[in-house]
Amino acid sequence: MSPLLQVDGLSKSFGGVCAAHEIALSLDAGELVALIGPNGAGKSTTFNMLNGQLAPDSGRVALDGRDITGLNPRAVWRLGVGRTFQITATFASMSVVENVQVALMSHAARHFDMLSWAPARERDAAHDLAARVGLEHLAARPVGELAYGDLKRVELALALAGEPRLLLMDEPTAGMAAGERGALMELVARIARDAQVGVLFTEHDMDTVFSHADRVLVMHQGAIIARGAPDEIRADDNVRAVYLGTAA
Amino acid sequence: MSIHRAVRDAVSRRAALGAIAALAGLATAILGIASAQAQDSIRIGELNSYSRFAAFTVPYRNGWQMALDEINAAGGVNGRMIEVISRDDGGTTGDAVRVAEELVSRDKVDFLLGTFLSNVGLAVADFANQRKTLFIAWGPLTDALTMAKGNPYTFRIRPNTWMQVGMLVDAVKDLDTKRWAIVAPNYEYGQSAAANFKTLLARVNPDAEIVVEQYPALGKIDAGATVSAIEQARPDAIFNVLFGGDLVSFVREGTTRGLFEDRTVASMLTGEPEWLLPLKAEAPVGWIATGYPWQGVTEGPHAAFIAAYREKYDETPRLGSMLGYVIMYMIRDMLLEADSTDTDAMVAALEDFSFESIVGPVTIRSIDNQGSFGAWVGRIAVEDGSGTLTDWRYYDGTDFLASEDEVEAMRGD
Amino acid sequence: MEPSFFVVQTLNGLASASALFIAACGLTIIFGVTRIVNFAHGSFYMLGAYFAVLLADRLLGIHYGPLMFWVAVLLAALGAGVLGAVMELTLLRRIYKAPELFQLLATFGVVLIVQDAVVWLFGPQDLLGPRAPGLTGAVDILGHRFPVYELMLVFAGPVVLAAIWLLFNRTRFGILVRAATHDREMLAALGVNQAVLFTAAVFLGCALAGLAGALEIARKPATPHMDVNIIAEAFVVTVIGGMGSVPGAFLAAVLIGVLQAFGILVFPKITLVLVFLVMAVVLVVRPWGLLGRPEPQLRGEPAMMLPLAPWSRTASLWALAGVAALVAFPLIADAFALKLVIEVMVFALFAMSLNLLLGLGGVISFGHAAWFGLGAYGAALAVRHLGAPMELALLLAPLTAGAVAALAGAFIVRLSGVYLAMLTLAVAQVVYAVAFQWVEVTGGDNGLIGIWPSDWASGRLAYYYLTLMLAGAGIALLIRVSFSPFGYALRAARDSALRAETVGINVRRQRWAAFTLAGAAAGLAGGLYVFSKGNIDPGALAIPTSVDALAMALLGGVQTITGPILGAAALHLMKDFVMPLTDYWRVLLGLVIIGFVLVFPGGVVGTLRGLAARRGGEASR
Repeated sequence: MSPLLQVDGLSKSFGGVCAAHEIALSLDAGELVALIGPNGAGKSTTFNMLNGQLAPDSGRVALDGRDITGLNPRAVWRLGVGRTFQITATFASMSVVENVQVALMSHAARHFDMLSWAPARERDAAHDLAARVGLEHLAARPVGELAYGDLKRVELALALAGEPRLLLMDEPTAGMAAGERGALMELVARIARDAQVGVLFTEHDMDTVFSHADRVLVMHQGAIIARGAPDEIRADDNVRAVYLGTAA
Repeated sequence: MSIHRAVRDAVSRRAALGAIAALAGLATAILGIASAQAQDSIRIGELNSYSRFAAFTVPYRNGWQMALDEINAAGGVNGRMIEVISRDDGGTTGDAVRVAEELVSRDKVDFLLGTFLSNVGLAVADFANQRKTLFIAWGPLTDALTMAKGNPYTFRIRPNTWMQVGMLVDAVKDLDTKRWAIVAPNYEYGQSAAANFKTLLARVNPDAEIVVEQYPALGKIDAGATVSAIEQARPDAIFNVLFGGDLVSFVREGTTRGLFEDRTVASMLTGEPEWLLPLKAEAPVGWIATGYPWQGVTEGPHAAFIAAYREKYDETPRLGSMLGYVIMYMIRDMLLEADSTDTDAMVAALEDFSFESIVGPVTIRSIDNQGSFGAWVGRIAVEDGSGTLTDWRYYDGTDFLASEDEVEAMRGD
Repeated sequence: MEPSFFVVQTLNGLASASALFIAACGLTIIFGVTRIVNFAHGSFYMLGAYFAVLLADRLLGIHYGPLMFWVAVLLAALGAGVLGAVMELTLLRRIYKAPELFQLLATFGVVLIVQDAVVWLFGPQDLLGPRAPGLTGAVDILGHRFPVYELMLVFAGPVVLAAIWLLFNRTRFGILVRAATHDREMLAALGVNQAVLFTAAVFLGCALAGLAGALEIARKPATPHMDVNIIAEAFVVTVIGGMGSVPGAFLAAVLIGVLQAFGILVFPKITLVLVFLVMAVVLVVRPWGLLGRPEPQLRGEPAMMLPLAPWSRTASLWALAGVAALVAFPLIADAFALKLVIEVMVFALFAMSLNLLLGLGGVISFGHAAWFGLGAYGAALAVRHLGAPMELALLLAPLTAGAVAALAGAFIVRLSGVYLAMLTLAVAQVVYAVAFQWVEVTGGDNGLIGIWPSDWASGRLAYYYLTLMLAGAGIALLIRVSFSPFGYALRAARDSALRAETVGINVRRQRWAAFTLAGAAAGLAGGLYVFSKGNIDPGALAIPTSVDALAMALLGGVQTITGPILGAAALHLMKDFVMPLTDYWRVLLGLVIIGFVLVFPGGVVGTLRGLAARRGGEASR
């Protein structure tokens, strides 16, 4: 059986500067994998290539054995890849529930339906999803009024609306208080286990990484320089060098 | 006219509305709570582009106002005063038709008068036809108003494009010119003047050929390029339909580049004071043009009108002033003839109607409702720093009307 | 073509290019710094010309010589610049936080005021200025006489370009201007006083407009229409060059000037449409203009993303009451009141159709008149050339407009922001030019007349109810669409295109469908319009019609469902009320528009809703 996500030799340069070089990784259903590295290491570039926002210069991305390299973000989403962003992107003029409704209606391919009454569509499912990410008390609030941590939860709900097999989460806990971080990551871990969803996430907070990730990948200057279980990574000299600034 | 007077006039017209706040005024306007109306006067609904084309329409308003004052001072028409309800037509067909509708259905005017632009004139004419209301057009030159799109309720006195081109062609037919250039603004008036010129020139001078045509966009002439393009074709003569700012650019460029040296230029409307005055001393000397040489009118009722006009308004008359004056008297004569403000009676009165204008006798023929009022053709000269028309002669319109066969071929009614 | 003529015609083209460039570069500078699309740019150009004529006459009367002429030109440019700064300080500055289109609307109010002010101050007659002393003659170029003044103009464009280059690269002010054009956040982060910079940029831009107008006095008279004549072309030049790029504007002006000079030799009647064809082609091939940078958003885009009020029971009651009032209205109204309300209903549908794009889609259309006019022409042509009855023509109206909107929309939705807006303008102008020029079919500028309803609907009352039914159905459909899954997805694409794409929504296709639907709805409005008026002419397709639609939608408030309807009613009734008051009604209309913009920066309905929400104790944000 092929892994849920299989990436081989993925590379991308911008104007001669190599942002990602020969990235290779794989990820199984139900697994939480962290992608860490200092700013500018190429994490977001890699994410953008995985969900089709950036076309790679070379390399291959496969989902459940199917080649999805070069597909656009819409197609990738429809194949079951949910994405959250480092800088949150939500529908600012809508309430939490409406945000989720839009994603659900799109998932049900109703987004060219011009005549049915959208406020009533997918309403219960949207409320359920909002509740699932812990936003039931804010369901009717416009997302423009939410705190940053809550926006991250909205993003998670949006990503989940497509019934994903794979979640790509860019800094899912940025801007949250320490306790909140743990709660969110536990939620994500539960979802991953229960629904057998693979999760690839980037994270700056090392406590979060080491307490929730099953495996850790370390990126530096566009390449993966270390991989392994959290304890192995913690002890890796290369990683220490990168993070502590001593010469590798 | 100062804004103060304009506002005062407006306020006196709508005295009831003056003090009311805008919202209440709006409600009034929508629901049509009409102000008190004089019952027994004859009401004319007059609309024109007073805001957008004030240089042409305000002298016209002065003209008809003067005639109106005279007529009413002399007792009106069989004892009934004439009242003119004057409105801005906004310069667009949409606004004009709405204003016409208001005049007819709310102000209950007996007939409509006015308009300047051809498209606005046609739209109001069509509205008049639909509502079976008499419409007397003042300014539009388009042939379509009385020919292809004419209707039984629309009348015009001013000579149309066809007639004025005919007069110009007549004035140049004996000159030794074979190779003609045409320059005309790129819209209906320019195009139809150019087309008429080709037709009429071929009739009097079959050997003549058109060697170049230029159609700069109205108000946006690229004068240097246009002059060079004409020069390149080496014509003997130029037929010009440009006016206003385009004409000034064309004249300045053409003069500097020697385009007009040893060439005949026949030009539409350039001799009208409306167009000559802005040119000041740079009026193109020697051009043969249609126009209005009021300076040369020294006797008769026409001269009396000019003197009275200058006295009253402290400005020299424009062609529009004279036409406004003539039309208001024609209206009086029509009302006397019809002895009624019933539309059918007025229309019947105007069919084959003859009246004596300050310029001479005019007949409106029934086949197309076009008056035989003529135009002056002369040579442009500069005297005391401003342009005038010399060596002019008045062409009676009767000889230049489209033939009855041509009219019948074009009119559907 | 003789080589000598080729040279002279090229020089002719370059002289026009210079004039065009100077007129346009101020517009691009103002946009670059402030992100304001200054509709009043032509007004400052016109003021520059009038000032120059008056000053030159006066100064040359004191002492005749080149010095005095050029002093007059420079003073006129300064005068226009100062007035521009006054506009910035008294008007624009107060509304920088409002949605960006409000600034456009405010500058349109300035256009109306200046138009009438010029007639009032300087008289209605064209004012011919003096020729430039010392430059009245001609030089011989390969056997052709070429005016010295034109030759001077050929060089004036590059000189102005060089001066602006020096200003931008050698002064602190210029460096700030470039920084503002390229990266606004950075500028703010550096602690630059934006207010002073904005005033200075508007001053500079308007002074350049004034300079362009002043330079024209040696070639043409100052007229009260010259503002309208220059503005569309100035837009075209800035867009082709790339918004905010001064060298781009120069290239674009040269391209247009030379194409025009040679184009008229082959197609003498191409003069109307050429510039817009060039713009449409350039935008399709290079979406950000020749030297432009991708996607400068208009100012304050996020301000558009206010929540859409949910459709409540109260809203249903209001809608019912409104329909009932309209059904009963003929009981108390006279024929003209019916006529007025017919037009209001038509314009309400028109404004609503624009709002589908503007409010829900965040797609700014400057050319919405195209679809209104195409509907009107579609219906009128069906009657005129196919002998179709009104019923069929009213069906063809939305179909024609919708079909063309679908075709043009396929290209338009590939762009975004201000370039998209400009491509809609270009499309509208091309459609306008076709209607204007294709005389055999469209009747040219005289238009088509005699387009009246079928007998059963020809009475005012019958047509009133027909309009109420069709416009009402159209508006109801648009409201329904706003609350449909399609409408939600469209709004989602506006709020965040990135997020919409990652939840499977094709932003372009969503916008394309909206464009087509809006076009069809505007077309229906156009069809109803033509049968209420009996005629149609290219004026219905022209820029003022597009501005009317924008004004109606914006004045009412774009985040609201009912806003555009009320906006249409307010604007149309106001115009009808103001027009008979005075010959100078444009001033009043302009003042009212500016007043509305200042008092109701969120549109009437939007502002009232905001107030109500605040009084209700809820945080409005």
